[in-house]
Amino acid sequence: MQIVSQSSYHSRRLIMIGLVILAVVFFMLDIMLGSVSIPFGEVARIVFLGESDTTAWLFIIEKIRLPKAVTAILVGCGLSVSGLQMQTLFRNPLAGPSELGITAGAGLGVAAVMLTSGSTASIYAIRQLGVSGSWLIVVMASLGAALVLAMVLLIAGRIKDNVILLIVGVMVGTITVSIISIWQYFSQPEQLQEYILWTFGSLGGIVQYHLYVLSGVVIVGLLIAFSSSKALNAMLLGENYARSMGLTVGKTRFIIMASTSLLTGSITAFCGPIGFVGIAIPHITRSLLGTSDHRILIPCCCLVGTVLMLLCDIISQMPGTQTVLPINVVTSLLGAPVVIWVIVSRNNLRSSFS
Amino acid sequence: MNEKLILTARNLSIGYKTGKRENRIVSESLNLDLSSGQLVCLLGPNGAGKSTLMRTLSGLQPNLSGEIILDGQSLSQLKPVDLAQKLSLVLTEKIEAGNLTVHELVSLGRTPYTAWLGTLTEADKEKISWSMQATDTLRYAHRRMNELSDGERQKVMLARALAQDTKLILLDEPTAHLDLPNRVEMMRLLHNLARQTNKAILLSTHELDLALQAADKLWLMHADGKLVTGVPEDLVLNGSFEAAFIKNGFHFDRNTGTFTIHKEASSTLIYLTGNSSLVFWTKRALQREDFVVSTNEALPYKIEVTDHDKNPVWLFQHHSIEKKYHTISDLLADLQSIKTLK
Repeated sequence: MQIVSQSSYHSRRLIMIGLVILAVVFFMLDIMLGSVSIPFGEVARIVFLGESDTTAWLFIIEKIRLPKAVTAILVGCGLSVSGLQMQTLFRNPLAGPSELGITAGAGLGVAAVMLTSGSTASIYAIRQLGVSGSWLIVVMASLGAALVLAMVLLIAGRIKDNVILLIVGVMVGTITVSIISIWQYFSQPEQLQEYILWTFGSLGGIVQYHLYVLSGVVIVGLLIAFSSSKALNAMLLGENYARSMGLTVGKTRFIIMASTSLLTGSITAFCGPIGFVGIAIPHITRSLLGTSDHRILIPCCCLVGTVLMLLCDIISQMPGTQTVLPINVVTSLLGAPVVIWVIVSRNNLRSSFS
Repeated sequence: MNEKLILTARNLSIGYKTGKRENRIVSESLNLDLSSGQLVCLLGPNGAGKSTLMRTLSGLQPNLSGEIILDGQSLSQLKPVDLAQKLSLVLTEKIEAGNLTVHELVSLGRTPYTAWLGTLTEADKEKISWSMQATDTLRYAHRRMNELSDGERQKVMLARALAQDTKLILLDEPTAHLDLPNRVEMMRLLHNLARQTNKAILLSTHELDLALQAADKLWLMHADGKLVTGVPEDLVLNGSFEAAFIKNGFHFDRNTGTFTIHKEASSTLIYLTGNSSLVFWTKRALQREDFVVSTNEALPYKIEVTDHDKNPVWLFQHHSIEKKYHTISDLLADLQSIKTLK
């Protein structure tokens, strides 16, 4: 007997194919559009063959736009999967990297590197260091993220209430931000400027080693997340059921925390705190596919995250103008209404978590 | 049916570790046996430690001392995956994954058997559809958990435990949120499953009358943590059942197997006789009004109920006074005067 209905399986496949097409289209659009418009034919030629008659276009695409589009994809995948894992881990629809202060924790790690090591250690100075510098900042940001996550998890173990957990997350985030503020207060103006620019978020400027490091860490984080999808599914029923189904809850928690910290930490280190991606995309994906199965949700979160981050990046470039908006502003402007829409129209929070 | 011991506990102490050396013992020197094909109900007043015992037996909480042997192996030494293949749970906590379909949720029961990504084999799928058939949940396999009623949800959770294919199933108050027909159905289902699948099923419940009817064995937990086990009827007849729930204000009626509320001290004795079903309901009404029904014919107050062409008639006698009533309401109204006389 056929238990999984054929129609839902088909519609799911159609949605996935549609998402892949959208991702490719937006990827090309993201590279085409910007302050300098480059025709589609040339873009395709540069991307696939690596040659062009105009060296300026070649430079713009290879050194600026292509890395930026790849970064957008990494951010979209990483943050949404880390948000998804947190929502399952905390069994809370309002959990997300920025909402529970994890991003702030990563920010603390970044601040520790940027603000302590003297005026020479701005992020650009670190970038000059190449591979070792980028590893330093990734490790520090991931540790900062893990620290906050562990604290929130510790408190969450005692408190089951969703809203209280969120308040705790916000408070822990606030404490972290305050520590950063104290640090800022005693820092040099040049260092401050660097740090504040970083908080606006940016997908640009991550090239060569940095891009390799970021890609490597994000891919490892995603693989860990995907390989723990069976455990995540079991966690949907709560800890006691998960344990009764043969799961070592402590180990699972640690793996999920490691993956979340790596993803949030590395992305925040390079791109700054990017809000709302982590909370909004898992909800959109869940309501789009109508499933809670992480084996489907994780790859689909990556697809939806890719599509939306590329879209945000296209908007932030303000095609046709010379202006560039900070990416954080765009994701918040788009993400917050999406969260409200999801809550109001689909009653999705309730259907997913109660 | 070949009965085999699935779970044995020897000299078991349960409770909580409150300090490094200090323990809060809920119950101690427990000796328990659970055989295959048996439905065992754990009964006891609130706070007696039913949940603690269930949690300890299911391995969610360590025991303070003693030994639990599950299917030939010590519970504390079983690896989580091995334990999951021997014991499955249905808990009271509400499932917060409303987005899962019934089929997805039941499939999760196969978690201890599937490979790293949780892909279902043919054997897994067979087990899943069997367990959904056995619990009559197959017809809403595609509905989401949040679209189901409490009764349906509980059956789905049982189907998940069945899919886990274990020799022992533990259920913590599976009838807690259900209405009466669903409670009866759940107990009937569990009773049949124990017989048909030869699994051992242990459940904690507050449904005394249902437990008395359906259970093969009762584990009675007293308020002080003492535990008495036995066949329901034996426990009723030797007074253990009554003793476990002793409290002021009500008493256990051995004739009907139910608890009745009444106040002993101020009550008037009435002799009641007649048609048995009419006597039953009349007795209920009288007890509500604080009368005690007796079988002593020499009492001053007598009521005889008879059935005249499907119309019940109550004949009330007090010394020389005799009166006929056609409804319990009229009877009770007049009986009020006896109470005030006293």
